[in-house]
Amino acid sequence: MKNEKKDIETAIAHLEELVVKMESGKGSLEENIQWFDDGIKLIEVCRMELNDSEKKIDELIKNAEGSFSVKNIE
Amino acid sequence: MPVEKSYLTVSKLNSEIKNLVEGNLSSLWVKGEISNYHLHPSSGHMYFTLKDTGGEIKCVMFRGNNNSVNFVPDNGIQVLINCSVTIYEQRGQIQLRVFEMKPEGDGDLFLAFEKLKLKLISEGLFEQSHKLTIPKYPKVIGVLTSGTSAAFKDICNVINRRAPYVKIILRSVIVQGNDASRTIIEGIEDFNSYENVDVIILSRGGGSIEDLWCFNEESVARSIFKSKIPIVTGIGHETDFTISDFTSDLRAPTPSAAAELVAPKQEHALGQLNQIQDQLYKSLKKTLERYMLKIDYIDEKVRYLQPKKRIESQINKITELQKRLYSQIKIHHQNKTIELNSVYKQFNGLSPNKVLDRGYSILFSEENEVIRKSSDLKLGELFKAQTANGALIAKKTKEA
Repeated sequence: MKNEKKDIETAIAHLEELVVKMESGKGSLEENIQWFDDGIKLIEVCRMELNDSEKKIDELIKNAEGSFSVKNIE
Repeated sequence: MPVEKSYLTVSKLNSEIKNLVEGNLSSLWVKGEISNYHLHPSSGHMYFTLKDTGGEIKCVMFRGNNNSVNFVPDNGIQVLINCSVTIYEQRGQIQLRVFEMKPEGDGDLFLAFEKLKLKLISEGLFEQSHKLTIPKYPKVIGVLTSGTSAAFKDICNVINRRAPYVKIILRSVIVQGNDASRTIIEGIEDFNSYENVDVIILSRGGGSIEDLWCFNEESVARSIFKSKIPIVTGIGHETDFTISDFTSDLRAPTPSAAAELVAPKQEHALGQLNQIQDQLYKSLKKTLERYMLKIDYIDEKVRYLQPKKRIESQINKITELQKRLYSQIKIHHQNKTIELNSVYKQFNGLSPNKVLDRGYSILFSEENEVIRKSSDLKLGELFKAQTANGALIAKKTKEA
């Protein structure tokens, strides 16, 4: 995706990797704890994003010089 | 002499007819049904007869013109042709030279649709391998439709209900009529230039095939194909399939369905996160349990193998040895004591005191030297006589 920001899909894919790593039983105890911490933090970030229910409906406006802006139309 | 009558030669006549007809009957629209259709394989010219219930006329469409035909002509198809009447002088035959041909009646748009569909299929525009992946959790959804339409309201309602965290950006376009395809293409290009949308919904509510026609135009299809942002189409009703639907990355049967496909339910995403969280907890618990087991095992092993037992046994051994040592020392000591006593006794027997006890005395000069013989003392010299019990001072008075 063009969106460089970490989106929920990427985050979930990363979380699934963490689960696989942790379920494999590999890695030291320290690593496992680190993975767990990373996972829980990431889940919280995703939850915050998913619960951000501020509805936004904008319209894409093409400016005279060819740049774009958005205008709220709710 | 026969009366001279004016006449025309056949060629002249045909030439006159040609001038009369061709001058007056050009650029006509004629409607009829194709029969005896034949596409000349080498020249590429089309030959056919156009007929209706009352008559028929031969037609030719040269290759230079028939390139623009956007359907596959065949016998029995009703067509509308743009043509001029021509006379083939040598044979005195009349035929229509066709410049343009469109299917006419109900089948017209359908045929055009089929023709374009075949063309784009052959170019691979519909192939699955060209389809972009639709993001599972888009944050920003671009909507290309008429901003005042019911379709747009439906899309917004569905997205807000299912995924209130998603931002909607409308790029309002005309979805019917002559300007529709141009604005749709501009809209696709604008979203691609703007970049900050994860997926585009291209949509329009239901209508007749003519109403939806802009979505069957080649330029729109090519623009959809070119888009670097995935496009989901939701055009018309479930039974409407447009060229845009075939070209898009995902086709939804209606505008609302397109919104449903694009916006995953918030609960679903949260549920997935809960599930992952459970898995993480379980995995960590399992790992910790594994480590605890390992520690227990090691502890057991250490207890078994380790110092304490061995030390205990060593201590026991040492205690034992110590006891033995003590007892040995005791015995030794006792023996030595006995031995010492005997030696002491012997030694004691040799002591001068023992001699003194028996009544002897030892004489010492004033210099405290033992007097061993009488001559060691001079007459009148004092000397000390040591007895077993005290000493006395005496004087040598005479030689005995």
